Amino acid sequence: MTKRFGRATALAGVDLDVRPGAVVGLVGPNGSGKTTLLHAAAGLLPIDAGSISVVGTGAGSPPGRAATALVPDEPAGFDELTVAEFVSLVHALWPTDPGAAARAEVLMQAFGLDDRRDQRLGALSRGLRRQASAVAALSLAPPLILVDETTATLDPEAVVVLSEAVATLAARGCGVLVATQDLHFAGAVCHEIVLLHRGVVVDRGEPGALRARHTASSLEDVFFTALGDSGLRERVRDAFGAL
Amino acid sequence: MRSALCEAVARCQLRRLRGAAAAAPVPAAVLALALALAPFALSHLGHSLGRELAGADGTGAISGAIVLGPLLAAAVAGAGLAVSFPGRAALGHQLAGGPVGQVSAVVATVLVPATGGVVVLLPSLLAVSVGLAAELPGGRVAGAALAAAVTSAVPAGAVVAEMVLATIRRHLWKPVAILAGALGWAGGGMVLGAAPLGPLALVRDALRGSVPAWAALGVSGAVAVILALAWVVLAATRPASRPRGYRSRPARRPVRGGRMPIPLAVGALLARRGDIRLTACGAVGFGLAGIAIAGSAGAPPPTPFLLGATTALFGSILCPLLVGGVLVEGRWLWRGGPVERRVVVRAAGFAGIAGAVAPVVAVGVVAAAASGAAWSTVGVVGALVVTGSGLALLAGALIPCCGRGAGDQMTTFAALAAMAVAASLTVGLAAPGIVALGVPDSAVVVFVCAISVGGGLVALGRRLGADGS
Repeated sequence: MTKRFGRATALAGVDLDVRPGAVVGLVGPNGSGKTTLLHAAAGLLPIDAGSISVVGTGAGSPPGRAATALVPDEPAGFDELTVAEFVSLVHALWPTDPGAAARAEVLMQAFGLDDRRDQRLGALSRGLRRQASAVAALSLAPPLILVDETTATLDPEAVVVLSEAVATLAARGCGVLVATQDLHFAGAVCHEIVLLHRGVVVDRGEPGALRARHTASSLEDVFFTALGDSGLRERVRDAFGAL
Repeated sequence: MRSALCEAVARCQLRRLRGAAAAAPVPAAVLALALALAPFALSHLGHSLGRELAGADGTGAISGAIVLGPLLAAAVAGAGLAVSFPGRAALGHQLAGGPVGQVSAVVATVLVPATGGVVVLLPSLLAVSVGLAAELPGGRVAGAALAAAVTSAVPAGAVVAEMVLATIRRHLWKPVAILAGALGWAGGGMVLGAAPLGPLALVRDALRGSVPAWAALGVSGAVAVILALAWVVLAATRPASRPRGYRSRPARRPVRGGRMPIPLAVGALLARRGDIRLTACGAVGFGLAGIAIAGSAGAPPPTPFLLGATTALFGSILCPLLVGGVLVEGRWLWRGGPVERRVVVRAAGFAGIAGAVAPVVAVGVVAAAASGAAWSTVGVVGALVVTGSGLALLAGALIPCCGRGAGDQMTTFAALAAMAVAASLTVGLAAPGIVALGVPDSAVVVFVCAISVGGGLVALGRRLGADGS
């Protein structure tokens, strides 16, 4: 698929497959196209070339939307609803199985939101708001789950809960596509990592295979090597030191 | 599914209004009282106007003006509403990606706040229209037809705005379809003797008593419903905005020497918003249309000036209305920086007022050159612009339009409408008594302007200092 914003190409020929039960991590610098890709998969953005298929239907079509749940980077809107009301609204809009309410309850308790269920979303911190958004989306257990900036603004406990929830849902057969800058999280949770840079897939593979291919000890080293930024730290240090 | 979304939007908007009322209970009570009393006062005003106009409408020019003036104002307001309507994005990314149909999303986002706006405005509109028509040959039913016609002009303006948006975004089938509809409209109007009014020319004739008022009411009601449905469909299929990359020239840089003055920053924030730009252009366009229509009908001065300038004001009012939301969205910077709050508020307030004044001045200059206008008329319009801008600042501060919640924008518009009704009532009741005490008219006008702008600035300051949104 290809997505352009005017003359700027946000995604150029990206080819990606999120199979049932797989957790795929999108990793890349800011502006590399991760959020654009997730929004296109969620049907929020039309693409310029190629296609996106969700369980056999087009992304953005009613069945495609029903089969997808997005946890956005910045949840917004419906500030005046409480956490419980928001989760109920999501359950009313999406098709749900009988276990959705129970999953929401478990997630709510795991995230520590059970004593905040009657608080309004607008009164929550950004991290808590993202947790509420995650509860609503993950409890649906749809065929495709999209999580943007997965661990951003989340506290360590919430990251643990999220990673366990993602792993459990994948084990149940959900496909999960996460965009993240947290390379530790990506290495621990994702079955496959796709490295995006300026809208192009520069490398992909299992975390271990990526490390071996780049003869790197960590995913951070893989990241910098693949992007050609291995001397970044020294360059910045020298530039600031010269001021 | 649809009811769940509508219910959620309704709950959010009711809680917003309740929060605003709880934060300022006395002004809220005064506003509610004024809104409750407004229909009675406006009915009295309508009767007074009707008595003055009765018998002077031999050619039908006055009936035509009675219909056309409010129609143009309502149309430009509708265009402003449509341009600033955020569409599906108002649901937030999470719900916007959900299995909610496009039409359902628009209806859920618009229906509840629009119903609130109608509840606020319709009694006053009906009261003044029915009161006026009761003194004319058409009678009260013709007044109801007039109210329905004015209501129908709101979606009509919104449809015109969708045409412009579709043209800009290069989806040409919509402009072609809408232009075909407009030609049909004008053709119908020509048959009835007033092309700009289209089928609503029947309302003009009903006011004169030359056609049955019930027929005019039925036609104007049907037009309102058809145009509202057409707008919902057009808004639901609105093409995505063109990305920045299409723009051929970069934004101008107002920064000199690495520092950007606050008034310039706020001005840039407002001036670079697409909705404000488009509405300003629409205000000028509708204003010029008003001048042309009044001129072609042979209306004497200062009618073209008044019609053009007040129509432009209805469109340009969006700029001060959005100032509150702009300040709220940038609060982390305005409150975090070492700058006094009042400096920010003044800069934002005057930038908003300037944004409202500019299109009116552009239209007013053309109108004055074309047909002339006395300085006293210019002064009256100037006072209207300043007072209206102050009320818009106030409404936008109390119910900020941040463009991030479903129906937020419509609720802010409804708040402005409520304040305009309440302010008209208050001034209409109090000003004659003050003038009778010997206070000059001009002093009363300046006082009203100062109160509205001052109130708007104070409310902006409180909003900027308040916790939460």
